[in-house]
Amino acid sequence: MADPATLRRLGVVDLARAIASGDVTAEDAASACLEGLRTVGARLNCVVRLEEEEAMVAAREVDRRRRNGHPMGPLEGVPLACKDIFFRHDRPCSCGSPIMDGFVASETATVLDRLSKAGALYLGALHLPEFARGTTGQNETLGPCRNPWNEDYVTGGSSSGSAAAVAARLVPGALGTDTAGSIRFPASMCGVVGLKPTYSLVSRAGVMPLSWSLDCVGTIARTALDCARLLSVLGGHDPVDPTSTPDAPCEYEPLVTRPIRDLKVGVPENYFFDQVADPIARSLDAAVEVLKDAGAAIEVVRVPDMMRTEAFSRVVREVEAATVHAGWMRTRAGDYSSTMLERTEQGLYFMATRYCEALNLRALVLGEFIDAALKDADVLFVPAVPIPTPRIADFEDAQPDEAAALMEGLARTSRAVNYLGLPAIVAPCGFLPDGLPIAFQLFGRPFSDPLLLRVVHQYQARTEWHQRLPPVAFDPAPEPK
Amino acid sequence: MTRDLFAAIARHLQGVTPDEERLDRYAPALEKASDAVSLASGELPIAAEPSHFVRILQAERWQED
Repeated sequence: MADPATLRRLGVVDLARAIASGDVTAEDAASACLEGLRTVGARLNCVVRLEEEEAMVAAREVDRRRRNGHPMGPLEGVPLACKDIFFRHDRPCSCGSPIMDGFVASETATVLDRLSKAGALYLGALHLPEFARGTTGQNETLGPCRNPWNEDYVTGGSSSGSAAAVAARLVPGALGTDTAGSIRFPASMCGVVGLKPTYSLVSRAGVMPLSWSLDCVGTIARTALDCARLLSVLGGHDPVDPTSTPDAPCEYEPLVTRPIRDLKVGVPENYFFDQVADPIARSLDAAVEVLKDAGAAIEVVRVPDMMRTEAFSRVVREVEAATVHAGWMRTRAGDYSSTMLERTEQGLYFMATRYCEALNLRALVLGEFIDAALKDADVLFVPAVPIPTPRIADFEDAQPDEAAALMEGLARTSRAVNYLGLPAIVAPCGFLPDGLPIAFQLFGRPFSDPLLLRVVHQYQARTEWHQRLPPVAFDPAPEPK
Repeated sequence: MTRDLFAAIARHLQGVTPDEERLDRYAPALEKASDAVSLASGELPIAAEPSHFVRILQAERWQED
């Protein structure tokens, strides 16, 4: 058996290669990950449900196929897990809510089918706030998900379990969803890479919706290259999702490893850096220098009114979320957490014409944004989370107004991009004085996902932030002497 | 005014009775977002129907040189 510590250090691409070559068995890989999820996963409260027996059977089948000389898929034997919002036929899906007690899915999400066909092993379902509504990773029923860098701090949400599990080396990669930053907040606060693809690039069929005009399925892993491998499997047209792109699946890894010489990185002079905390600003400045050293040109750009864009986004998000939940809010309001109810009932009060106007404005606002911010730049560089990661107690002790203000501060630089449909990625670029990670964020034109991955790949080739182990991990770093 | 309108909509049209304290908290933000959309819609010509958005993304797509 391969050394478990070595196993747990391997990312998606390296582990797939090791399994395909026979250096590592899928059974050992699955067994090591499941042990981590059972132990450290329980400590971090990042696991909702494990499928241990099924995963081990599938792992042994991978090993048998390899021994018999069958061709190996791009994720053959790689253990993965997902936020508990992806349906699997004949299986429960809690969406983090008592409302879903007794629910059994009648379909399997297209993305899970694609992972399975690529050879990936499904290990189980991970923590999320109720119905993926929440910036911080708290859930009144499940309890808070805890940050592997310091268990007193929030993980960010709503893909809280996915980011915590990847950061703690419990799985090499995970799926999340992002309606207003839900992949990027937790990836940023847990120190891993989170990709929200271009709207429509990845199928949402079989995924519990929050706001169908904004929802995106995306990836969380430790490197851009790992995200590229996952996106190559997940992306492309899905006949079951009428909003999916007509594009065929694409092989992203060769696009991601190219240099970024002469690439123009736009840094906004307005809005995005207005309220950035000092230590975060210093790490962001240093990250820009790394990109310059890699050959990128830095361009100062001016973005349109982002507060207005977020207002439009809010109308769409709240109305669609309220529509999804209206029936249950009328008949089972008491089964929702007070936080979920408060957030979701707001969407019942917008006029129908306002909602249609907000959707109508979308293409025009997108055009304005591209003309202003991405005409002279290939990608836009902005903060991922502009303020320090809060403690769990900061929310438990806060008045509702204070908690809402804190969440607005966390989300300030991320939410509006879902309305624009653009791809966005976050990657770790430093640490706060209290040991919590800092991340930068990139936006790009529609379908520039491989370009964003390329910039992060080149950044990671020159830095080692993504290689650091958090104190609470399956393979913990030695205590400093 | 807006708050009372929301309360009336909730009770009579949506079949939901919102908590008064909650309503006080979020009514101003709802009004602000609604007004922003209204103002922008007045300034701009009628756009493509919403289902065109995926095609708009395709039209604006990034191309590798």
